Amino acid sequence: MSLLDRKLLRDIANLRGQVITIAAVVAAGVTVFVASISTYDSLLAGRDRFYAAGRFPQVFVTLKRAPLSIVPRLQAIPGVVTVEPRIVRDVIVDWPSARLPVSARVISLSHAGDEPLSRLYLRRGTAPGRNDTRGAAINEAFAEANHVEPGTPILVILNGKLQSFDITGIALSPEYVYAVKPGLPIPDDNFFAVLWVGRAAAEAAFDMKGAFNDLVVSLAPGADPQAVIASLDRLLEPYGSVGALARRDQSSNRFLNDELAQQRVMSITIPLIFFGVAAFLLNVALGRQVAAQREQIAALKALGFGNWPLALHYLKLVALIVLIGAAIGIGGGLLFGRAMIASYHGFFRLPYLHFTLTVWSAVAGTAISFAAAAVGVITALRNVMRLTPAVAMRPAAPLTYRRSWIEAVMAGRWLTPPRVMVLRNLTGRPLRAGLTTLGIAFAIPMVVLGLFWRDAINQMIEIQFNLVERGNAVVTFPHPLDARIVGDLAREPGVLAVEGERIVPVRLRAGHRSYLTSVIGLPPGGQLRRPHNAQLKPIAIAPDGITLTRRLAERLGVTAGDSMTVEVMEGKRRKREVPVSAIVNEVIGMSSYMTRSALNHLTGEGDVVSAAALYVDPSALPALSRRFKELPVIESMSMKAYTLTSFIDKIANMVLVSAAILTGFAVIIAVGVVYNSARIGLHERAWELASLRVLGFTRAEVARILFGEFMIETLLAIPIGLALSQGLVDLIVSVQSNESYQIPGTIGTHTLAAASLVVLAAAAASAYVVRRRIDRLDLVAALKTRE
Amino acid sequence: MASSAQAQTQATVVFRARGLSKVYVMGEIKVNALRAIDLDIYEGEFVVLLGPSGSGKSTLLNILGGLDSATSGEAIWRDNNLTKADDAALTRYRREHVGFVFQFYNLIPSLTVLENVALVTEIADKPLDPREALRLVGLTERLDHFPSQLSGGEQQRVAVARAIVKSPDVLLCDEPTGALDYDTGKLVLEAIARINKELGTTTIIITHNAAIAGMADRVLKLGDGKIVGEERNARKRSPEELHW
Repeated sequence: MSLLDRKLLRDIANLRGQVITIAAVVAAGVTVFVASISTYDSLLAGRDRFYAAGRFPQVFVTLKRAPLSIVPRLQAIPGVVTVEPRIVRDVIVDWPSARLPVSARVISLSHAGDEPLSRLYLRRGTAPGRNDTRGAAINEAFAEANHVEPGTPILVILNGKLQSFDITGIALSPEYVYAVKPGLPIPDDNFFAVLWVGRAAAEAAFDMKGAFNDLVVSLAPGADPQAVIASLDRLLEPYGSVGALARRDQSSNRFLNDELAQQRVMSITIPLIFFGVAAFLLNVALGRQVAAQREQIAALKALGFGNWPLALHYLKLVALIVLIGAAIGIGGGLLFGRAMIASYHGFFRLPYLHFTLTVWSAVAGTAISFAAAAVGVITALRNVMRLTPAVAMRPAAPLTYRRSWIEAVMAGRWLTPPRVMVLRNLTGRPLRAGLTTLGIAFAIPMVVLGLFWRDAINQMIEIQFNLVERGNAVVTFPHPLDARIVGDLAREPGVLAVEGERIVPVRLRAGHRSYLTSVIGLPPGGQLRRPHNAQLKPIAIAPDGITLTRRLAERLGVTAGDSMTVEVMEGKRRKREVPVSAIVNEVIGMSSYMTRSALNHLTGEGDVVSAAALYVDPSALPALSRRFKELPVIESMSMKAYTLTSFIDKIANMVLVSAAILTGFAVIIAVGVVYNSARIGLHERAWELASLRVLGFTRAEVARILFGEFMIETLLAIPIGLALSQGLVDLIVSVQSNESYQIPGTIGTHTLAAASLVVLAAAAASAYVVRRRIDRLDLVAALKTRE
Repeated sequence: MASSAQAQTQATVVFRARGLSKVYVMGEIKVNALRAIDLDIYEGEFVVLLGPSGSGKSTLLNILGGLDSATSGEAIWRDNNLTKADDAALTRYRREHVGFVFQFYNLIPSLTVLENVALVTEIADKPLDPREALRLVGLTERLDHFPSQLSGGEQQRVAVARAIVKSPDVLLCDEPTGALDYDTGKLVLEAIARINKELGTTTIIITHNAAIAGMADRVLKLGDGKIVGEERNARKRSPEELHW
């Protein structure tokens, strides 16, 4: 081992506190980088593998009833490869232990689960064959939530008759990676099941012998889905098609893709920020380290060492620190990534979802860390090597201090000499003070990014479930009913208010853009569902136009005042030009609103309703939901409280993992910056501080002078960090293009307070560690050596 | 020593050292820096500790100044046993009683002349006015300058002013002229002599410069960790009269 290498090892041993904190920052940066990118890649791979293995269709059609004899004609549409006709129907399940009516989507199987399209992945058991009339496979999410096992019987109300199926298998389908009950914004696995039954059973139950009401289609590579959709719509319109959907708008796929897009934004922005901070820290900390060794470097040069071996020596130091950090970071990335993937398991039912480390992310993470650190070291080295050894061997010229304008502003009495020292040390090195402040400031967004999801979700819940949807229960009817049903519901015990709504499937067209959704018809002066504008003020629905949510208006490229076509996808299938009367701000879904009377006028029906929003005395809710389960007129009921609890439980898990980890990293950053700055500050000023100790200043007084600087830097860093946090959250909110839900960029006060406290505590803790070194200052040496 | 003690009977003893020893252990080598020194220093006395480097004079000054501990024996300041005091007590002792002047001045670079002196008034009970302290060392101008803008002699005079501004009971000077040229060295010595005379501050200077010995009441010669000689000056000379 060369002597320089021996010096390297000893330097590392001497600087172990700094080596550990810098390596920890590298480790944190690499962890987030590797985990985010690998998680995104793993999710993407999990989705793609499942879509490929499950033969996920590209086009989806729902219709009333068509004979199987037309299938060959559909098959002949150019671009179509496979068509699979099915029988799909939403039914009510008799599930006695559930607090709410349970509904299920029944889907027919013709190939015992090994369907040409939308093939099932069986976790356990088997799927019923085409002619099996007794067996059924059930989706895993419901099975898990309700403890359903193969062999469990399940009672389903089919066309008014109770029929029992035996569960033969627990299955996953690419169509229901994210299974949402129709009409609900968020999934509730307790009350929504997917049941796959043999075609014979579905034909008998729904009177669909030789017919189908659902079609899934796969396309040839390069085929234009829009052209196929147009042909399908034309051919199937006589059979009551509500319009074919491209894969993009299939609800499970859309939710999954939105989540992936979200993950991608996070996998790029958060690590970038993190790396920026880590790079900056490495740069500053190692740069100062070299500057602190100025005299040693000069002495080595005087002894005849060339610039290059010396540069190499310090680069080795960097490489060693970075390698230690990167190794820990890659390990951490594996653990963090696995935890994130595990937290997705309850959310997305993907059978092939495994965490795989994306190799390039590990390599790139290490390389970026090394580059950042190397730049810092080389810049500092150049400054030292520019000097002749004779000059460099002498201590650096003392800083020239000046009175700053701050002193002029401050009251004279407050400006005691110790405080003046603190102030002048700050203003004497404005760049360093600025960078240290910025470094500490960057720790704050880390905590905020971990915690702000909870605020965002609270805000979403506040907007959607407190401002917009103000009832506490919603019921849907199996078909449109006369509005008098509203009066009947109002007389049910415990019901304090009820409003009838009409929900109609429509295709909205504006120019070449179109979107398949529903219009919600609201009663005049309704109080239980009140759309809100961007200022979060409730608005009345104009009687003669359509009101769109902001995301929907963006998708269609329209604004208030524009005109667009509304095509009703059921009944008489009327088309009408309708003006856009207003844009509203909603955080979940892409809905549109009209007045109930205008909507019924458009469909050509009388005064009918298809759903009702209720406000029920909370103590009467359980009894009411039991009663509604018995009423055949009620198809489904959802209760806000249950929906929210199950949703929040799921989200909470996901948020908790990343919040804990990012908070940990924020601590690492804050400690890294403060500890390193304090150690270097102590090194540079040991002589001055020891002199003060000799003059009779106590350890505490000397510590106050040294840490006064960091206190001011930390206090300045907090408002900067809070502003950075808001900017970052705004950036994340603005770059995500998510149609399922819109994340509001609101950061809660308690999140800001928590972030500030975490950083303050981390700074205080690292100051405490350095404080102990003040106790060991060599007072005698201060008298004998010149600075 | 008996004769000098006789001559000082009226004055109070401020420092009393008995059997004071200091052994530095450096790896496997033991260095006896002080070997069982007995010493009395009287109130208001001007003492020069003279000796070559390695003679133990700095070690002695450090122990008397509360900066270092003894290996054995005792050093007593009035009623306080310095050899038994803990760090907090030594800090209090330095803060309340001792003024230090260092070879390399040890001024705070970020503070101006006036502020460097005022710094100590922060922690003193009965400080002088900083301007008065600076006037005593002959500095009445450039009070707003930073140390880097002053000559070595000026910096050392600021250091003397800083040492005396708290009205210390004892002024300890470690090679105060060691880093200065002849003329500026004399200016600094004049300032120290004046403090001793006008304020009656007990003053101990360590130096290897024998010429300085002329300005002391008493000169203690150190060699190899022991007091090897003691002289009393019948007439204290002023720094002006010194030559080296």
